[in-house]
Amino acid sequence: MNTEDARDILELGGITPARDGRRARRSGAPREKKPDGVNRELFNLIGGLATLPLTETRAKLKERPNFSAKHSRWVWKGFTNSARDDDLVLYHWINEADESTDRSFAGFNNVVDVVEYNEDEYARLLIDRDWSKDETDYLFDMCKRFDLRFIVIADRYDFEGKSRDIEEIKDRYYTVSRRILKLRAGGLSEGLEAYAFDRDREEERKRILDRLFSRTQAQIKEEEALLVEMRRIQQQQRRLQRDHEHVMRLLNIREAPTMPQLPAGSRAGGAGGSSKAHASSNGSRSATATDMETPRPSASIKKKKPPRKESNAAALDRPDIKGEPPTPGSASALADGMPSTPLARKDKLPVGVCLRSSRIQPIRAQTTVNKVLGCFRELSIGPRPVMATERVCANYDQLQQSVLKMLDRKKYADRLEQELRTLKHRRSELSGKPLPDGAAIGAALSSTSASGGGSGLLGDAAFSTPSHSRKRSGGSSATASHKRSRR
Amino acid sequence: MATFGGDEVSALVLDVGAGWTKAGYAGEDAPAALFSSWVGAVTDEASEEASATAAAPAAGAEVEMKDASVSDATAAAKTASSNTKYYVNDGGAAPLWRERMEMRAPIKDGIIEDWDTLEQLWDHAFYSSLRVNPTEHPLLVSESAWNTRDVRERLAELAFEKYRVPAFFVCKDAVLTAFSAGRPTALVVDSGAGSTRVVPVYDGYVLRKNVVKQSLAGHQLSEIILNQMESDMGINVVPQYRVKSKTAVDVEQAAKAVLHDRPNTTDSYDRLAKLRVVDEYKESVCQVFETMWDDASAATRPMKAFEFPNGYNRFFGVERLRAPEMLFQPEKFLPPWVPKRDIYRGIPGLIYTSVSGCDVDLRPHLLNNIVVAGGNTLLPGFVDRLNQELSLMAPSTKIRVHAPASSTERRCSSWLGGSILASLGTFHQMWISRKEFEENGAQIVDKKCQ
Repeated sequence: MNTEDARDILELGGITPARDGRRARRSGAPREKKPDGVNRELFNLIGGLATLPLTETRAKLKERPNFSAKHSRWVWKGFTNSARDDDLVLYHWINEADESTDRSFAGFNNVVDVVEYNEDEYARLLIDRDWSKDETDYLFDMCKRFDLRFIVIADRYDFEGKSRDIEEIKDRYYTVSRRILKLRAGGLSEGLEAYAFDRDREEERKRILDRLFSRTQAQIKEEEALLVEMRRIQQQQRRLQRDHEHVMRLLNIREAPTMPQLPAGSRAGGAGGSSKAHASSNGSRSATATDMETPRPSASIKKKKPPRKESNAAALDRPDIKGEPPTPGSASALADGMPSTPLARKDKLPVGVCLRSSRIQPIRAQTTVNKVLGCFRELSIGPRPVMATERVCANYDQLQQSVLKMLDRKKYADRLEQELRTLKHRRSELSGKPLPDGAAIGAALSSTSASGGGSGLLGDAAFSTPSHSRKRSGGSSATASHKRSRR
Repeated sequence: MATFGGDEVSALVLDVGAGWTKAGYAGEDAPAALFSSWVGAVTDEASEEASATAAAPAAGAEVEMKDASVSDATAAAKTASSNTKYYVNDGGAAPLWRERMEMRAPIKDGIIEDWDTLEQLWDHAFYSSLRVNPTEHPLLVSESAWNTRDVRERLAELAFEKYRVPAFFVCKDAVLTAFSAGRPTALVVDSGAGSTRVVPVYDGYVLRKNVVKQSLAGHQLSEIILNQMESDMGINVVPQYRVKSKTAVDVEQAAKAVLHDRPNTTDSYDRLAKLRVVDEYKESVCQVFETMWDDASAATRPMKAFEFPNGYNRFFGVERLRAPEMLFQPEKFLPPWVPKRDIYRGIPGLIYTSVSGCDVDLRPHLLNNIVVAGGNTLLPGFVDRLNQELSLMAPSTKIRVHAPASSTERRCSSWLGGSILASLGTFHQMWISRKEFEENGAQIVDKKCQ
């Protein structure tokens, strides 16, 4: 395929008449030579096309001025400005051809619309104990003079030696305007929103802003530290939540996770008012908790893994060990008495001859492999089934899966425990009362985090093999008892 | 033309400051005339030598004084009412020496007090420097933010009645400074010769209630340094006008200079001439400590040499840092003999006072648009120090300090703003015309120039 073919397909019309061009070239028209270092394929695509025009970089002399062209005359001319109410004549240089009389700048002379009232209206609507008519007049004159720049008005306000603050001025102006406009509009309140002014709220807002402005360096630092801390706690809670969901899935429990859910709002919000966020989190926590108690799967799980629930076959197909195991009710495959051999799980049949033991699902992560092997060693089982009959292989596979689940749950339990300890420690710190084993906690924490997969793994977690827990009915009770026994 | 909104009407802009007078044509980027606001006045008891040429009394001095300008002589004028001759200096900082010449400046604490001197300056600006006919040009004049009504009305009278300008306008120098930085809303920190002031400007209006000022600025700083030099350091400051010739001497050796005999020198002239020397010292040697003051690290700064007009020279160490520190921590660094030393406050403190008096909605805008102006702020390190102190003082707000790098822009910022303003097409409607003045009288100024 070359350029011409491409152009042909796109019906762009050839650079040369398409068919003839090719023939002509074949018949000895000098072919463009492929430059070195350019791919043949690439050259076929670009070859023949006009290359990018090279810009000429020849040094040029400055262009000669065009003396022969007719130049325009500039004259010193007087003009008036229509925005002025006197006829001041100012002079400027202007192109003789420019005949415009008025300067366009007069258009910038915008005047603010300030409501006006008459004696009668004032007497009926606007009498105020605090504001005399004269002072109101003075205020409206100021508004006109300073184009409603209230900051300036408040600064210059001097009515018989009396000054007022900006809220008073605004309040009076907006009240008067609102009343007059309402009267003119015949009681309709449309379009009056622009004149709404809530003095108390404005004062409160300014007070808060003032407090914000006068924060000291230390206060700002503390605030920032608190925000960081909040974010950290949120993140941790989210992680715990995720783990919890994961374990729940493994346990095949579709009921209420007992973990406190983070409300969606506080999850997104970073720098919002902290006290507010706390209040709302308390409120919505109870809401989500009641939501969760319904036996249907939680929304987040549903949203995350929609295909899982479509068919169990699909779930089985996945080599992912964390895949959802078949539930007794819906697992048609198991109910049909199909042997759940490793073979049955595979989509494709192996090509050629292979050992059945090699079909056992491999474990992905190397660390997990080591841990699983450690468990097996404790049970004195070898890394491979000795007599790889179909049944043995199936059992072996099942055992492996069980151990994996157990490891997962153990990890989760460890984390929960650690969290619990940290929180306890924090609580004791905050209340100022040292925990009895306060000093040991730091060491304990570090040791648990350091010894990822200890040797006494199985003995430690043997009480709850997956088969056990699966027999239990309620997931929450299972974890609860789990926790209790751990303690 | 209309793309930038300019429409020149060949206006003149005149900015008479405490130390320097700036005059020029609107639309230009620097004043065409820049001369000292100090005017020499020689009063003759009898009207002797009325016909004597102005150059005669100074003939001897002109030879040695390099900064003497030719037009100095031409600027000499004699008022009809009294026998006072005025000499306005054109160009150089220190006016020429003359017998019995008193030095006068028109502005005291931001208010015009000496109108005769002011007229001399205007005369000089129009007729000697710019060489224009004021009746042909609209005139824009600057005033201080706390100028009184009487003064501005008198200014209008002077412009319309004496100089017969076709149109006139008077504008606050802080507003003009804000305009020169391209900002309608700004906090102008202007530390010039006569006063240090912090002026909040909102939409081109000065917020009068929150103007903070004090007289501790370039001139007073020089006075204090001069006193310190003479009393504490034991330096005999000999001004330039007394020195006829000098020979180079080693560091801290007694000066070997031949001095002029200058009889009948007035105290004011002598003092001013000495202050010029200190100004030079300030400009070439002094420096603001860039971070918060710290005695130990200030002592490690390198020393700088300064040679006085009579040839005496020495190195200055911490002194050169301590002197400008008076602007930032007057309570600590002002010498105890300064009268009323408790009323002075550091520049960051002035800024904070001014800003916290303003509406809380406006504060962030002001702190984000701090415009620094005035020759006193040209001390190296001034802007850095200001930035640092302010960010400590108002940590909750973003602080941005706008300080033009070029010294002309910093010194002539209000003139520059006037140049911009007077050349705008939209400004045509703002001028007070002669007709308006004649119909309404001088109070039109207060109505139109807010």
